Amino acid sequence: MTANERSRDDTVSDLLAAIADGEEIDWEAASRDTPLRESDLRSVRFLAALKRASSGVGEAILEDPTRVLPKEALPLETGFDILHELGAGAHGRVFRAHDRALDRPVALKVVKDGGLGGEVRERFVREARILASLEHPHIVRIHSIDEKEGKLRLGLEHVEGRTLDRLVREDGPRAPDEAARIGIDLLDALETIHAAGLIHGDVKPANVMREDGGRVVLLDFGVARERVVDPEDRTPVGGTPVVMAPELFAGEAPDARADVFAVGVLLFWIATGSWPFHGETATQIHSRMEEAPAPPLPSLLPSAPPAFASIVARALAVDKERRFASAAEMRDALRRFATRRVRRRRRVLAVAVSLVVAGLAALAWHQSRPGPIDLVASLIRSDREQDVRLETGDRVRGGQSLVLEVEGDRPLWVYVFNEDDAGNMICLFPLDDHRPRNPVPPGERHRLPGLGPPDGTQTTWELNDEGSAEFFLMVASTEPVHEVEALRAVVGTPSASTEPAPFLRPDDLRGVERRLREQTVRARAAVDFEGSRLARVTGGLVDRRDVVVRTWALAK
Amino acid sequence: MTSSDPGAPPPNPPIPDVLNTADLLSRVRSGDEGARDELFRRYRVPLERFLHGRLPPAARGVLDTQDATQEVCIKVFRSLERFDHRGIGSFWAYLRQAAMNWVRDLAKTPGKLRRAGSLPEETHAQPAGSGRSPLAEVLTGEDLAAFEAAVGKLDEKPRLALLMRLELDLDYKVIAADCGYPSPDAARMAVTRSLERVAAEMSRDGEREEP
Repeated sequence: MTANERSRDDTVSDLLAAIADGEEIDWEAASRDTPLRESDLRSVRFLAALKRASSGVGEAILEDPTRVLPKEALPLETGFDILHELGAGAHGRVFRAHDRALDRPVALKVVKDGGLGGEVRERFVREARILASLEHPHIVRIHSIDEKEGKLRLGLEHVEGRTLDRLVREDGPRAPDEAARIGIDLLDALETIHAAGLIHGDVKPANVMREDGGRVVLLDFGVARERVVDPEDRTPVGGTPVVMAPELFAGEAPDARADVFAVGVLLFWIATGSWPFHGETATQIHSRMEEAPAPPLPSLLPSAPPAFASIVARALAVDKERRFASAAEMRDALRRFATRRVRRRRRVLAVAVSLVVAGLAALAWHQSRPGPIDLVASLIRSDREQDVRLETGDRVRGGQSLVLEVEGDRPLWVYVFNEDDAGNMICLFPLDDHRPRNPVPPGERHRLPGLGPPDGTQTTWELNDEGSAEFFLMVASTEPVHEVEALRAVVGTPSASTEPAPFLRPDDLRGVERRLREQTVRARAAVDFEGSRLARVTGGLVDRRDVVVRTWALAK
Repeated sequence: MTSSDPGAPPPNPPIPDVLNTADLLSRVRSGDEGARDELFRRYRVPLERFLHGRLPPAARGVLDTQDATQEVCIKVFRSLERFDHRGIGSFWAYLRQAAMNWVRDLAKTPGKLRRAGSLPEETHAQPAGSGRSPLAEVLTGEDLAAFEAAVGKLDEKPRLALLMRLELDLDYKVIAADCGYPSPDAARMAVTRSLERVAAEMSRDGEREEP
C-alpha cells in the first residue's frame, strides 16, 4: 500500500467515524487534502446522507412508555379469550368469550372470514350504534366494538340462558300466562326502540333470550332500521320471512306495527309450538297470509284464555290498520290480561280450602323426606348487632331486615316467595337487577336477595309493621322449575311489579316502603304456613326428587 | 399488578430505553392492542423515512408513504407471533426487511398502493417532518442495492448495531445495551468498523461497475 493509499484510507476512515458520530462534514476540505476516488466518495456520501436522513427518528422509539401508557395501565391485558361458540348466522359467529380487561364474560359477535363486504360491515356498525343508543333491561347491552385483523367484533352482554326458540323446542310450549309475561317485557323493550325512531325488524324466538333468572332480553339488531323512511324506499327489508308482516312482502316500509305483528307470531309460536303462517319459502308464507287470517289460537290450544287469544289475533291481523297501533298498546292489553288472571287465581285459591288441605298434606310429606340436594337455607333476621336465625313461629316486627342465607352443593335455581296475611303474593328472588341470579353458584354462602343497585351492596327485605303474619316459601332445584317460573311470572317481583309490593322490598326502595306502610292488613289468629295460599303452590312439587322446599311462617 | 416481596433483594434496574420495545413486543404477541398501537406509533417515522427513500418516485407522496407504512406494519404485526424479537435492533431489522419485501411486491402488483400515480407529481408532499429528503439527492437503486448487499455480509450483532446507528440515530449507550456490547465505546467501535466494511464493499462494487 502506498503512502497515498494509506492517506486516502485514513481520510475515508475519519469521514466514516464522523458520519457514525453524527458530525458535520466539510466535503470540500476533505477532498482538498487527499483526493478520494470517485467510488469511495460516492459510498461515503451515500452513508452520510443515510445517517443525516435518520436524524432524530429514534426519539419516538425511546420514549418513556409511561408517557403514553399510564403505569397503572401497563399490566392491563386487553382483548378476549374465546371460550366456545354460541351460534352462527349468515354473516357472523357468536362466541362466549372473556373480556380480559374488564374481567367479565361477553358474547363476542365476529363477522365471518371474507364476509366483511361494505354492506355487512355497515350492518354490524349500525347494530353497534343502535345498541349503544338504547338502555333498557330487556335489550342486550353492548360493551365494545373493535376490529382485529380486518374482522369487526361486537362485545355484547353475555346472557346466561336459552333463546325462546331453544326453550320451546326443548321444554315444549309455554303456558299463556308465561307467554304473556314474556310478551309484556318484549313489548316494553320495543316501545323504547320505537321511541328512538327505530324498528327492530327481526323479532323472532331465536332473537329473544330467556335468562335463567327469568329476564327476557331482545337480541340481534342487525336488520334494525330507521322508523321514518322514505315512502318510496324499496330497499329489501331484512329479517326472517316467518315473522315478517304481510305488508313487508309487498315492499312497504316497516313501521312499529311490523314489530307488533312479529310479537304476535312469537306469542303464537311459544304458546302452541306452531307458526301461524308457515311455508317452505317466503312466497308460500306470503300466500298463506293472503289466503286467510291466522288460525284462532284455541284451534291449536283449546285451553287458551279467550282474552289472550284475542290479543294474539289482533297482533296478527293481516291488515296493519287492525293491529295494535303501537307496542305500548299491545303491552298494556297483555298487562290487563295478566292482572285479571292473578285476581281470578286468587279468587279460586280463596275457595279451594279442600285443595289446600290436600296440598298441605303432600307438602308435609315432601318436607319430611330428605332431598338429594345438599342445601343449607336459613331465614335470618339481620340486625346491626347480630344475625338471628328464624324458625316457624318466631316473632318479628316492622322495620326488621331479613335475608335468606343459602349454600348448595351444586348450581341451583332458587325461588323465594312471600305471602302476607291479606293473601298478597310476591316473588322475592330472583330479582333481575340483583346478583346472584339463577342458577345460584355452589360452594359459597349467599345472602339473598343479594347485591343490588345502585352500587352493588348487600340488600335485604324489610318488614313493615302491618299485619300479624308473614309466610315464606323457598324452592330450590337443579334446573328451572317451570311451575314456579309461571307463578313468578304472574305475581311479579318488588322491582318489576306495577302494583305496590305487599310488604317487602330491597332496603333502598324508600318509595315502595311508604306504599307498603299504607296498606291495611287484616289480622290473623294463627301463624301456620299450611294456612297460606303459597302452600298450594308446592303441591305439584312433592314428587320431584330434584326439588327442595323450605317454608317459614312468622308472627308479628 | 403484583406486590413486591419485601424480603427479596432489589432487582437490577432495567434499562428502560432498551426494554421498552421488548416489553411492547411481548405484549403485542399476547394480544394487547394498545401495545400494538404504541409500537406502531414509535416506529412509524423511521419506517416512513425508510420507505420514502425506497418507494418509486411516483409513489413517494405523503399519503402513499403513510399507506405503505401502515400496510407494512399490519403485515408485521400479523406475523409477529412466529418470531422471537428481543429488542430494538432485531425488530427494526425485521421491520425494514418486511418493508423491502413490500416494495418489491409493489412492482409486481400494479395498484397495490392505491394512490400511487393517481396524483400529479408536484402534489406529492414529503413525509411529515422530513423536510427536503437528503436521500433523494443521492439514493439510486444501485446505491441501495449495494448498501443492502454490503450490510448483508456483516455478522448479526455488528449489523444490528450499524442499522440502529445509521437508520434510527440511536446513541451508543442504547446500542450497547440492546446488542450486548460491554460499553458504549465498544458499540461505537463496532459501528465504525462496520461502516468501514460497508463503505469498502460498496466502493469495490462501484469500481466494478465503472467503465
